[in-house]
Amino acid sequence: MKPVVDGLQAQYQGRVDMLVYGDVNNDQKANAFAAGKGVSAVPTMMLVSPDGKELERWVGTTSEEELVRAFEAAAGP
Amino acid sequence: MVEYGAAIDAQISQLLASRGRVTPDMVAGVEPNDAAELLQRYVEVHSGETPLVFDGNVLTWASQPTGAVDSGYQPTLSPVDQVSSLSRTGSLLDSPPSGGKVPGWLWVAVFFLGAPGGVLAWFVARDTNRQTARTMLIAGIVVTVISACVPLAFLPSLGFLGGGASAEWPASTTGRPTFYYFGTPN
Repeated sequence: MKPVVDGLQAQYQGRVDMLVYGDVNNDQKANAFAAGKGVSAVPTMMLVSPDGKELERWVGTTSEEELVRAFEAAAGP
Repeated sequence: MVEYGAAIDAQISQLLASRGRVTPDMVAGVEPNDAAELLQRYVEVHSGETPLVFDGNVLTWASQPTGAVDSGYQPTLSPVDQVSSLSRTGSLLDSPPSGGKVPGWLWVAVFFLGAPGGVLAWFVARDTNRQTARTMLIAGIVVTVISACVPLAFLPSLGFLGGGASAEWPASTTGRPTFYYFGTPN
């Protein structure tokens, strides 16, 4: 899943901010942050609107097309 | 015309004993005109035993003042009427059952089955101890309410009702949506 996210990060640079915690199991700070957000499995991905509203949450792997669709809807044209 | 006989005599005697006075319309199964004649006959038959007075309309004891009926006088109630007219305050037999021993398993049913157990216990115990039966019914309802409320109180922390998915997120400083990825290097 991480390679897909890396590709999207490049593709949507400047349109969607990306915070990628790629080794949450070994990164204590990332682990604590993830726990505070209700993350109980990896990978977990969330898309949050500019005003802090959680728009989407994916638990487990998901397709790149699904992420692109959400990004386009959130970032606008 | 009805023949004066033992049945009529007994009926009039009973009416006189219970009511203290007999009028023709009180004699059952006899036309009033015939009843008046029967009452007159009754006075004749029993004149040697008891002083009676029949004025053509009312048969009563001779000790009752003559003309009392016309003046609106109402005889005192006979013993039978006095008893039957007493206001009923209820006897011990009429009062609801109380103090009886209720089987202990009913409480088990109440706490394990909740409201249905309370209803069951109420039905079983109401004839033995009405107060305890009512308490069991209320306890069953309370058990059901509590057992329903406790899980509801924990639902948000379990992630239901949006409690787990709606974590607080900071507003973006760039004005763009933010994508968070929590995963592994692969």
